[in-house]
Amino acid sequence: MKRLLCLCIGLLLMSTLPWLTAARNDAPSPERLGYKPSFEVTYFSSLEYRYLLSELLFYDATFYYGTILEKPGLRPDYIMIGRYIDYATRLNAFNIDAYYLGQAILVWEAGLVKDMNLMLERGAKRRDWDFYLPFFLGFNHAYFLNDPKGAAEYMSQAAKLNPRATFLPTYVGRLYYEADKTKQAIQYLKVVYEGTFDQKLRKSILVRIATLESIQFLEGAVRKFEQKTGRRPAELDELVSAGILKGIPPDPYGGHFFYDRSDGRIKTSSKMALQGAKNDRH
Amino acid sequence: MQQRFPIAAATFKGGMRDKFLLGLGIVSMLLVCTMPVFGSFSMRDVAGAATTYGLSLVSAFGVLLVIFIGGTLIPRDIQSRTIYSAVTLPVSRTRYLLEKYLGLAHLLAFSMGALGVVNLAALGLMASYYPPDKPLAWGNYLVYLFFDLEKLLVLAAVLIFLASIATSAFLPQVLTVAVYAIGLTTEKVKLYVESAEGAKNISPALKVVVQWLYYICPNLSPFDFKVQMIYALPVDPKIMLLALLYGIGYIVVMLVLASFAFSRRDFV
Repeated sequence: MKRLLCLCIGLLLMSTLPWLTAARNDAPSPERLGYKPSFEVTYFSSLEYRYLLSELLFYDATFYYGTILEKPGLRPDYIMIGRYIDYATRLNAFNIDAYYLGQAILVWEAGLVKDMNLMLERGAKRRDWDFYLPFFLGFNHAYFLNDPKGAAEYMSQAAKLNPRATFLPTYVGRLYYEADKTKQAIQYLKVVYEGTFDQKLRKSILVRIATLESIQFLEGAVRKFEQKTGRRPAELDELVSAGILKGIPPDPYGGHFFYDRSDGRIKTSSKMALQGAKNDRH
Repeated sequence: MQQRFPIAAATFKGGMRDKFLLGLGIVSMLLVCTMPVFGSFSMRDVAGAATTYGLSLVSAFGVLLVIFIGGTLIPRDIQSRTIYSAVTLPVSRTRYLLEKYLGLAHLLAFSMGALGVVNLAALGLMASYYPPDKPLAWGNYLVYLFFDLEKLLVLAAVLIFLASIATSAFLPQVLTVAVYAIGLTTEKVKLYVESAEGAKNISPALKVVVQWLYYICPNLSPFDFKVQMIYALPVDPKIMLLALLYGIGYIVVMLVLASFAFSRRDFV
């Protein structure tokens, strides 16, 4: 009888598990990604499992980011994600997943382009057969750092590593002569999409491509407006009232498109990040 | 083997009958089967992530095997008093010790081979579904397995030495775990203390301690060829040869020391 009673008490206490999980889930986000030891401690204590640890750090950062995206109102801790990616790529400089994640999040959403470039350069030295890393570097230099010369060098490296990517040589040329950054970004994202297995990431890339295609469409409409009226529009609604467009397409990220007269570019209030990260170029 | 090395054969059979080996084998096989799940979270390199996981599992399995099966070989004989009949046999104590080691080595090779084959099949399956950037280098897999086994044999030699002087099973096991951790760290720490950054942060006394540990404890890092397998990187034959020679040398030294200690040991 006593044993049965103890068993019941035990089972009763164990039934708190769903509440425990819910409480942990509601905890402030920085605590969910709380790996703090220095890199040296991590490296020395990883024994023969540093490649596995590198994968686990990448997974931890991916799950954390995925969880944050599902919670409206929370902004990912980009500095911590950057730290995880830095550790993951230092523990295993071949870990392409970590570079992919960093390129997708740190560069586009957090604006940590130079930090990510340092990691990519480290990886490009080790993964000397992989065209993706010089391709990422080339794109970052062209699109984010306005450095077409540096970009062309990396793109040439990428083209040598992947001769089957026939668009790369022309891409290099366009970096010099073409100012259409939206087109560059769409082409870049299509390449990344092709090389990605992860369904969530593929979906998010498609959303970004759709947004950029809307921007490209609006940029074309603005050019038509300029040809027609000889002036720049004050706002996008003028394109509708001038009969060039039937309506303004919605921003897949939930924001709205607007025309920035200062640089003549179409931008979006969402900054192409679900949480509206501050440092994104758009 | 049974006629030429009866103690080694008995050790191998005893190890095969050990329920711990069976349990560990089943758990490891099941974990290897979870490779696709682990790899599926990868964004770009599913086969690479799965391989990393699979190889780490095989290595962890081997280390647990050395510590829990190897750690009880001699202490169990002492505790069950079968050592008394063993030392009265017309074989020297050194031969008894060496045959125990041989039996353990045989058991390790068999277990690693069995798990290695299952792991290989799982890797092949993963690579066929998610082709990696570079085709898997199957030769590198053999290199990885061979040197992982050599690492386990070095660790087993350390364990036999510690068991030959210790009075309980627990102490050699704990010390072997410590040697395993130190053995995989000394090379990294030595290179760090000799670097410009390490010279600034590390005291000269600690530097001496690190260098002593580097030479006394086995350096297990050179036996790790996982990265060459995961990313199909070329393997340097010079490194393989040196690692092979170093491992054999360390095993010989440990077994000789164990023989000295065991020959002088009083079991009464």
